[in-house]
Amino acid sequence: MSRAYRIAIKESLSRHVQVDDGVTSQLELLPILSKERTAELLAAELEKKGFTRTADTATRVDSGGVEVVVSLQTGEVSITATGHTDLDLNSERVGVAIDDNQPLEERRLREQARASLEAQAAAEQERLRRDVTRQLEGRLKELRAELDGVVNRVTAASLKARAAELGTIEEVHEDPVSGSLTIKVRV
Amino acid sequence: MTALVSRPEANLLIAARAVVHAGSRAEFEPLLLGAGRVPDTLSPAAMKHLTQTLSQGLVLWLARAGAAREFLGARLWARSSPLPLHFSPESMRLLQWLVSAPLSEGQVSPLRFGQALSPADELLLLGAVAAAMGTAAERNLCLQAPVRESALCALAFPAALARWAPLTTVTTPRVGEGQAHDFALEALQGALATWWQQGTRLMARSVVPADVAAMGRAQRLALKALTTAADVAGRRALLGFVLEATAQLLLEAPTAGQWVATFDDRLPLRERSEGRKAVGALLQTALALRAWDVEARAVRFIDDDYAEAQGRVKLWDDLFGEQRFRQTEGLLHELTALE
Repeated sequence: MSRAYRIAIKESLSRHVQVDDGVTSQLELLPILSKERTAELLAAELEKKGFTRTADTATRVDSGGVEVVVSLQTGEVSITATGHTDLDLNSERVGVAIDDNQPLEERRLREQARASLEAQAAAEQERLRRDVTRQLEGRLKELRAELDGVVNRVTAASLKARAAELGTIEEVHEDPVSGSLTIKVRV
Repeated sequence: MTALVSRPEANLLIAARAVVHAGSRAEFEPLLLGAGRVPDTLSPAAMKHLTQTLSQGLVLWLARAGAAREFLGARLWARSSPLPLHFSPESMRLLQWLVSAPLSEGQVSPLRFGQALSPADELLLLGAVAAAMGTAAERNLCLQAPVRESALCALAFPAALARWAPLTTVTTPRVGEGQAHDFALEALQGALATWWQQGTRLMARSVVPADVAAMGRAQRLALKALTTAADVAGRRALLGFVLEATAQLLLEAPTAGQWVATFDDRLPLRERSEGRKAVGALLQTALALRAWDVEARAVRFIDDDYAEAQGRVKLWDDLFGEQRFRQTEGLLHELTALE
């Protein structure tokens, strides 16, 4: 006579998960001065905004782990957000085995449990990634305005430097509202 | 003149007329999608019709596609040595395959050629791809190795080719006086502009950013190959179709939102951003042509290429002009901005 057994298995999964999301864009730096001089002006403006210069890049890590990297030579901006979490997941499966199919049934339950854990881990990872994306999206508008301001100031500084090369600057008028800049030069 | 041909011969003639854009699409489509019968040999009457259809039909197609336009006060045939249209047996092989292979099905016997295609054969292949666009045969045709390796097909339909399988390399078109693709590319300017509009509209409808990015990469590759070849050969006018296509698209879609679909906001920002940038491949090339336009304006009347440069300035001014270059710049800025 066959006997039925109730079998229960437990599986667990521990994993460190790291996700990131990011975008790249280009600063619209006008070629008023040489690339090297523009890069210097850009570095100076970015340093005022809390960026740290290392060779040809300027980097800042904002609260929340959003990293902004600006290439001083090309004007390429890379903004990345990263998220980490430690997953500790458990799955339990219960089944019925009859006599000698117990190892088979146990293996099947274990595979089911592992597949379930992997699915849960993937879902958790995706949830974390969406959080990171939302966090990044939240920062972009502000960063865009900040970087546009940097570009405007670099352009103004470049124009002043170029005007000084052409002659004697007699008058500079800057309208902070419209952003217009008028330079009077005696050549 | 009426001549009696067998049903399989008629199938072949219908296909030939369709690929040179002289026949009815409604008549051709069932043949393209199903497995039609092809003749083992051609009767003299059918052979005569086929020869006439291919030679006259192809010339007529090229004339309609843009060759009849005047540039520097003359039509293409009057300015350049005409393209020798020699149809090799590979043209017949192509027509037979189009009729006999059921191209709407998942798997079809691959299109294979025994030798290198002549310029006329390749034009016929291009015509076949153009005729299959938007039909259930598009996928199978776009997946064929000879299509993907053809410089003309890759230049005309990069987005469609990338839609069905990644297109990571393209064959560089052979341009320059007497080169295989030179005459054809100039003749096809109008058609290329239309196909690029269709390709860009296809990208604007795609809601999967990874697909859009793949299509944009293919477009970029195709345009880069032509830009480099045309620059080296001193044939910059061959890029005119880029401005023609862009001008039309700017009219119908003046804002960035009309160039790209709204992607699912649950997708990674990186993917969405790459998708938005990818739709700008055509715009980027159009903008790059501004530098060529500036150079052409600086060519002096004592320079050898003055006439060509002035002709291009006038043509591009009529097609595009500075206002559209600025519009293109603004649109590209919107597509690549941080958002």
